[in-house]
Amino acid sequence: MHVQTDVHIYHTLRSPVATVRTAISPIMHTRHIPSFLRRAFSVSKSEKLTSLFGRAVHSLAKIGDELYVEPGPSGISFRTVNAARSAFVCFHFGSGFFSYYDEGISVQKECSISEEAVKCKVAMKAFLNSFKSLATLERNVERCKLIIDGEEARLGVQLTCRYGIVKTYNLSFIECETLQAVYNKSGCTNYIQSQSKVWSDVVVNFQPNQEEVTLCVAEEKTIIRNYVDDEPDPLKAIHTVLTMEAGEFDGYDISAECEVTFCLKELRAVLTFAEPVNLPVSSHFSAPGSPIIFVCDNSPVFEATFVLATLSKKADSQIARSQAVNRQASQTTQYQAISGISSCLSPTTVKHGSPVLHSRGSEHTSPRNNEYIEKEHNFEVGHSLVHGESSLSGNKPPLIVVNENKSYLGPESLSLNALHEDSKTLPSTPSPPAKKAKFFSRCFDSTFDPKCIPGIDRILAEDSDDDS
Amino acid sequence: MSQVRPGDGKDYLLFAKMCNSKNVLQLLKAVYFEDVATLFGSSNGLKVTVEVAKSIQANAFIQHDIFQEFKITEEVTTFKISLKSLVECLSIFGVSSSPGVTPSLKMYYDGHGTPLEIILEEGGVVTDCKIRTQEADDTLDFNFTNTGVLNKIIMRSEVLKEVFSELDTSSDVLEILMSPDAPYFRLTTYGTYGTNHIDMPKNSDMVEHFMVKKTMSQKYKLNLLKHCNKALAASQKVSVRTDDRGFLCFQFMIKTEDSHICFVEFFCCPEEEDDD
Repeated sequence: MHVQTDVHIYHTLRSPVATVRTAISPIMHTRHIPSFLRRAFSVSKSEKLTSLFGRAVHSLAKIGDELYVEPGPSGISFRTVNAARSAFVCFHFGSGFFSYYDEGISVQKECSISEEAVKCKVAMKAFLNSFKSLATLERNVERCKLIIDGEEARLGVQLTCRYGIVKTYNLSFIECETLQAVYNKSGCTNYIQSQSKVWSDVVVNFQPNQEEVTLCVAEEKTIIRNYVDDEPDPLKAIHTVLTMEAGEFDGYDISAECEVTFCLKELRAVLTFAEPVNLPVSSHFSAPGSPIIFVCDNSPVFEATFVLATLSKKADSQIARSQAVNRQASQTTQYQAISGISSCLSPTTVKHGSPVLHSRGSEHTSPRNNEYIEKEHNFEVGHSLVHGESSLSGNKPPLIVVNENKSYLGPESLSLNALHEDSKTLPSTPSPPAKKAKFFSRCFDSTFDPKCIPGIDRILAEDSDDDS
Repeated sequence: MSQVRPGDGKDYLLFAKMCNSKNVLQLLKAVYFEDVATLFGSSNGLKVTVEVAKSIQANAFIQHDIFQEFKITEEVTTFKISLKSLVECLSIFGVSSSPGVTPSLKMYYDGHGTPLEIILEEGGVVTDCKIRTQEADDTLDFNFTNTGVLNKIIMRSEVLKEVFSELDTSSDVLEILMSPDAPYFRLTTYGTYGTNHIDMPKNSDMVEHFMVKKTMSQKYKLNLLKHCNKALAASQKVSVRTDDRGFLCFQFMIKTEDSHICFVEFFCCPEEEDDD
C-alpha cells in the first residue's frame, strides 16, 4: 500500500534526452493514514535516465559496501563511504529526475506530526545486483521503480524491460541515521572545472595499479604526477608527470599554489559516472590534509559529490622506508580521515603504528601496532611528506619519502624528526621488542611456578595408570 | 588400411554418415554437462541421454533424416559411452574452417562390447577414433506424458537466455510459477540479498503460445537447471511444460548448421517442500 500525498503531480522530465511528458495534476483524495502504518516511497524513471542511474550505482559500488538511502522532500540521496573513511560519495537525485516521486511523508489533517521518510541502508552488492549489467540497462530496461517499504523493511527495485518483462528485486534494509561527511565546499580556496574527458585523458596515463596521484596547482599551470610511496629506491619507480596549462580547463581559480595527493582509484570512480554522461567535473580543494571535492552538478535534476581525503603535510616529518608488512596493514589508512563522519557509524578500527622513528631496512613493527583508535573529528594522519626543493624537476631522485607507519594518529602522539635524503647516516633501529614478552610475559617470567597455580593440589580423578 | 568397412561386405550393427559433423557436435554439446551418456540407436535415429543425480535428464534427438546415410540392422541398440571423449573426437578439427569445407563423419558400431568408431575427414585429413563403449544402465523414465501436461508456454529463447544468465546464483532454488492470471509466468529466486522475481506477461511479443490451465508453482534446484544453459543458448525456441506432479520439461528447438530442426529436451523433478 502506498502512502499518498494530497496532490500528485507528474513532473516533466527535465533531462533533454528523455521524452517530455505533459504535466498533469490530478487531485487525489486524502486518505486517512494512521501514524503507525508503513511509509512507502516510489519513483519511476525513463529509459535513458535509468542507465544514468545505473552508472551512479556502479560508481557508488566502486567506493563503499553499504548504500545509504535517504529520501527527502526535494529528492533522494544515495550515499556511501569507503571502509577507511577516506572517500565519501553522495548522489542526490532531485524530484525532477523522476517521472513520479513520492517521498512518503504523509500529510494528514488529523495528525500534527509529520513523520519523516524512512532512511535506510542496504548492502551495496545487493543493490548493484539489480543494475549489474549496464549494457542490459541501456538495451532492455524501459522503466525503473524504487520502493521503500518501511513496514516490511524492504527496498524494492522494479525494472520494466522490453517485451513486457518485469524484474523485481526485493532487498532488506536496515534503518539508520543520515550518513554525512563534514566538509566545506564553499570554504575551498582552489577550484578547477573541466570536462570529464580532460580528467579521463589524464587518468589514462597512469599505471593501472597506481594508487595515489598528486595534483600540484600553480597560477598558470597544473602538474599531475603519480605519488611514489614507500619505494626503497626511488630511481626504480616509474614517475609519471603531466603538465597542463591553466587554459586547458574550463574554470581555473587558484588562490595559492598547493599540492594535494589523493587516491586515483576514487577519481576513477568519479569518472565512471561523469564520463559516459559527458558532464563537467568541478574540483574544490584547499590545502593538503583537507579533502578534495569533485562535483558533477546537473542541479536540480541530479548532483554527484565525491569527497576524497588527501594526504596531510607535516612541517617536520618522519622518514622511513616502509616495509611490505606495514604497507599491507596500512594501505588504506594513510589519508586524513574525513572529519565528522556521522557518529552512528561504528568507530573505525584501524591498526596504526607508533611514531617511533625507523630507518631504512627496518622490519620493525612497533608495540603499539595493535592498538585501536576511535575516529574522532579532525583527526590528523601521522603521514608526512617531505619535499625537496627539486622534487618537481625530476633530475634528482625524488625526495618524497613516507612515514613507515601510516595510520590515524592523534597530533600529540607524533614525535617527529626531520631527516634528509641521505639516510645512510641514520643510526640503525634498535632491536624489536619481543612481542611475546608483552603478550605472554607471565610465561617467560622466571618466577612463574606451575605448582603455584591455585587448585593444582586438588585431585579430581585418580591416576588410572598406576605405575607403582 | 586393414579395417573393414561396409561396402567391403560386412554389415555393421549401426552405421551413420553425415557430411557435416558439426550438426551432431552442436547437439551433443547442448547436453554435455556430464561425462557419461547413454546412446540409443533405433530406426528413428540416435538419442543421446545424459542424467545427473537422478533428478535431471537431458535427451538430444538426432533424427535419421539429418544423416546422409543411416543404417541399423537391429530394432534398437543401446550403449553407454564417454560423452567427453565423443565431443572431443568430433571437435578434433577445431572450430574454424574455411567456408564450404566441413568435416564429414562416419560412425560405426558393431554391437555389445565393440567400440564406437568415428572417422572424420576434412580437406583430405582423416582422423580415426575408437571410443570404448559400456553396457548401458537403465535411464530414468520421468513418465512425462502429453496427457498429464497441465501448463505449456512456448517462447523465443533469447529472452529466457538473458533471464537465466541474470538469475541470482546465491539462491538454491528457482521457483517457477505459471498461472492463467497475473503474473502469468514468474521465476523467483531466494538469494542472500533478497527475493527476486522475473515476470513475463502472456501477451509479450516473446511468447508464442500460452496454455496454462491451472496455477502451479514449483521449486527446482537451480544448479540442476543451470545445465540447460548450453541448450538454451543454442536454441531458437523453447517450450516450458509442467505436469500435474510438478515435473518440468524444457524442449529446445535447435537449428543446426545445415538448417535441420532438432530437439533437445530436459526433464527435471521438483524440489520437495519440507513444510511439516
